[in-house]
Amino acid sequence: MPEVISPVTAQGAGAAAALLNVVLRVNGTEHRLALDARTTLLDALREHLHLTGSKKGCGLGQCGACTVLMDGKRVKSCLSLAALVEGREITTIEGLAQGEQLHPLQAAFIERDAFQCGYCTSGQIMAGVACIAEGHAGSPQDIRDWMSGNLCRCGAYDHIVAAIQDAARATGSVRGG
Amino acid sequence: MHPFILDRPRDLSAALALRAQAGRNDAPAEYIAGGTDMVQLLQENVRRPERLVSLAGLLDNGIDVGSQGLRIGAPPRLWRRWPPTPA
Repeated sequence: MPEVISPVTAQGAGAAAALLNVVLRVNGTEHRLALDARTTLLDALREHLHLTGSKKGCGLGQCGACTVLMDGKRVKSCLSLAALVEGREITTIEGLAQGEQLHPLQAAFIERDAFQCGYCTSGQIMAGVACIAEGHAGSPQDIRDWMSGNLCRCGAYDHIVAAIQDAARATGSVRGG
Repeated sequence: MHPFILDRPRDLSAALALRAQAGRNDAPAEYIAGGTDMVQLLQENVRRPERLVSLAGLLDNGIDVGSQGLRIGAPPRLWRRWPPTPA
């Protein structure tokens, strides 16, 4: 079970550790935060910046629900310390759409009904965006291999693969690995 | 997670001067690079260092093929760089 982190416990209720000044660049905006050294990027996003689209599933890098892009590459934000990603350009699910215009993969997830409960979805979409950009969306098997770090307990995998394939075609990014 | 002091040295010699140790449960100071392994160990209290020394951005992440053979730095991502382009 994931530990429930409130702002109080994330700061370390019993610890007298000094807070670190951290500048995070998220979705094109700079944020100046004072963080406990233990704060993960995921907790900084959710508890300090209130960007709750990135989800905490396992907190141990096994499920992929917390996937975000860092300088365009996918990372598990639960395994990054926020203080160590200063200066990196972080993109979350909240930064994907252009205003009301959904990203092609967001639209494809709706079109293909690629989720059930939705908890893994923002991580699936962020990983899928990277998967397409890497050129790893050339075939359904290719997509399954390169999306293996993102789990879906509802078992929507067939539809997730179809959505990624659609978006890869739409963005003209289908090429060999 | 046990509280720790986080050092973010500017270069490798500054990082080495902090005399952290790797792979020991009893070391007062340990290194952290990306965090994929270390953050899990910290989360589960397998490691409880008093100090963590960050190696982020300090290590050679190159993969090079030269006349002496193949040279691989400590933290490169293989799948982005394989096969390497001969120099």
